[in-house]
Amino acid sequence: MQSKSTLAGKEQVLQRPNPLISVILWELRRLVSNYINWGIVLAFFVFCLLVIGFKHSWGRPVVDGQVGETILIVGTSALGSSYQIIEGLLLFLGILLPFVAGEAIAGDYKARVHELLMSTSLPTWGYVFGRYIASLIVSFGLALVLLVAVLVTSPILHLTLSYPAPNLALILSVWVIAIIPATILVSSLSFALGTLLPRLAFLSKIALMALWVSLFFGSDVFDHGSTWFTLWNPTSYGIVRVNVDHFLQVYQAAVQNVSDIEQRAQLSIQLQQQVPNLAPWIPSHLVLVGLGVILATVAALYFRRFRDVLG
Amino acid sequence: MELQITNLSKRYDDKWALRDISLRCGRGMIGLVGPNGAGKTTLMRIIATLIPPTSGSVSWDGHDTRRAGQAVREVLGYLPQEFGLYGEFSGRQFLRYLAAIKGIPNELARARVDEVIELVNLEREADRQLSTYSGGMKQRIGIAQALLNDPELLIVDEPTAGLDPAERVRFRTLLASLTGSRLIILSTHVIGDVEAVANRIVILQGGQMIADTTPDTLLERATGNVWSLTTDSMTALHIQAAHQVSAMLQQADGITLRIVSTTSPHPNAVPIAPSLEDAYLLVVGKKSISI
Repeated sequence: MQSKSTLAGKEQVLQRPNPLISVILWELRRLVSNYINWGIVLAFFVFCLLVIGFKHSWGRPVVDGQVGETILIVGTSALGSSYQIIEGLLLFLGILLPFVAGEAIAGDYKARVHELLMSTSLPTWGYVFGRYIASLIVSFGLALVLLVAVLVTSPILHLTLSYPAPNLALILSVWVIAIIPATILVSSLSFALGTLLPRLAFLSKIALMALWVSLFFGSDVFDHGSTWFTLWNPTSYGIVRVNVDHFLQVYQAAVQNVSDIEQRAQLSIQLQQQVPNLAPWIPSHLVLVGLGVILATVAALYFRRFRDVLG
Repeated sequence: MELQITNLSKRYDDKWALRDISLRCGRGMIGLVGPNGAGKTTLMRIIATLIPPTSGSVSWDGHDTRRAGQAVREVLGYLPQEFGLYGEFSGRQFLRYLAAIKGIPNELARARVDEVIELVNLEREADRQLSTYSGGMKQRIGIAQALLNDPELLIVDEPTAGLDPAERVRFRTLLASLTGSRLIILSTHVIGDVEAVANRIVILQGGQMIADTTPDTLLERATGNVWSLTTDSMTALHIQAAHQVSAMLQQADGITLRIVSTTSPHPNAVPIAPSLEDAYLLVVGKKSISI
């Protein structure tokens, strides 16, 4: 029995694979070949459908003189779409993401593969950034699942409940301005914590999840339309709060002299179809994206290939 | 091709795992043996650039591995004592993955993976998911990955653990065939593995190197210090309490003991030829028994 290596001398003339590309492609291949991951994607999709099915309109109380009225913001209107995507679904995406990105490197410790990988010639930057990019791709995949769920259900709501026809451009805009930055930030933060504190990976995931949920629910306390929190809150709850408040003001002004219930409802739908102003959130969310990338870079810089205590 | 270890020490909190180890080795196979907690795995991890030493240095071809870690890892094949695999991959996929990670060009990786699969005798199971592999099969995948890059420095920590006797012999033969062109460091509890393939033995105990010699020299030193005695069970118990017994065999006419001792353990004991295991026990000086 001999080790008849095909490598002798040939490696010099053939090009070595790019370590970053290798890490990304193989990590994605690994994730794709695990049926459990597909189950999670499917479960998240079904969950999004159920959330939309369960909650596709929001009642908001309006006081008009002595008369109290609850108006419905419907899920496929311009205003309702942002409500649906941000308040209805982003909350759950943000809860799921730490469990995806937090495992990108910490998972190798848990699986005891770390020593095998770290004793190879794979450069540290290739390993860390490769895993980061792969985890971002998976996170984007989940964000895409969320988008698909909205795109699938909106026409159904339009046809079955006579909701307004969905505004696709607006849905995509909300997805790009609210969902993508949040995805990058939460994934990057989870990745950085999982990479730098692999032994506390589970704890950091729980902490991030709790932080995310409290940011959502804390929004009701802090988001009043003119605070820094409104613009910088990564949950984008400010988009919903500011535009709903604006809508209510406009609505109250518009229905001052309208007493017919039918007419008021029609007016409400008309006003909900006004495209919300998302522009104020673009700069702050770009900064949040940049912060996410910085966090991943910090993780790469402080990642220790040498570890005193292994396994 | 030279590995030089100079005054190497490693401390974990207040416990020294290694103390002042110095070693110089070129091509060939070194058997690294010692009781549990002797520091074998720590030494291998330091050489494999996985953990830093507290003091001292390791150099490969004159380059300090702390500064030139990447260059060392280029020529390194490492099989850790305990390792995991990605259960969602097949054996072949996992090896292809590690081939890519090790920077083996795609054009060569497929053929090289086939070669190492053949070397570890896993052709039939190579396309099965790793989660279905037995412990021995996983160990063979571990061995295969260490050989992927045709390493100049091969470090294997307890490589035959979990292998059946036939596989163990096959692996020893494989290691022996690889020895000519590289340095192999084999850490094991199985003295038989070292006896079969290593031309140099390093014994660690309590983090210190207590022997660096050849198997023949070790055997020579043990000559005249190994005894055989067939006796009744009560005497056997007394002998066992007072001396190092390396084997005990129940027979029709009593119990036959194999005793490692620098003095005659009993008037009826007769000197016999030592095995490498006897010689090892004589150096380590610990009581151990196999029946």
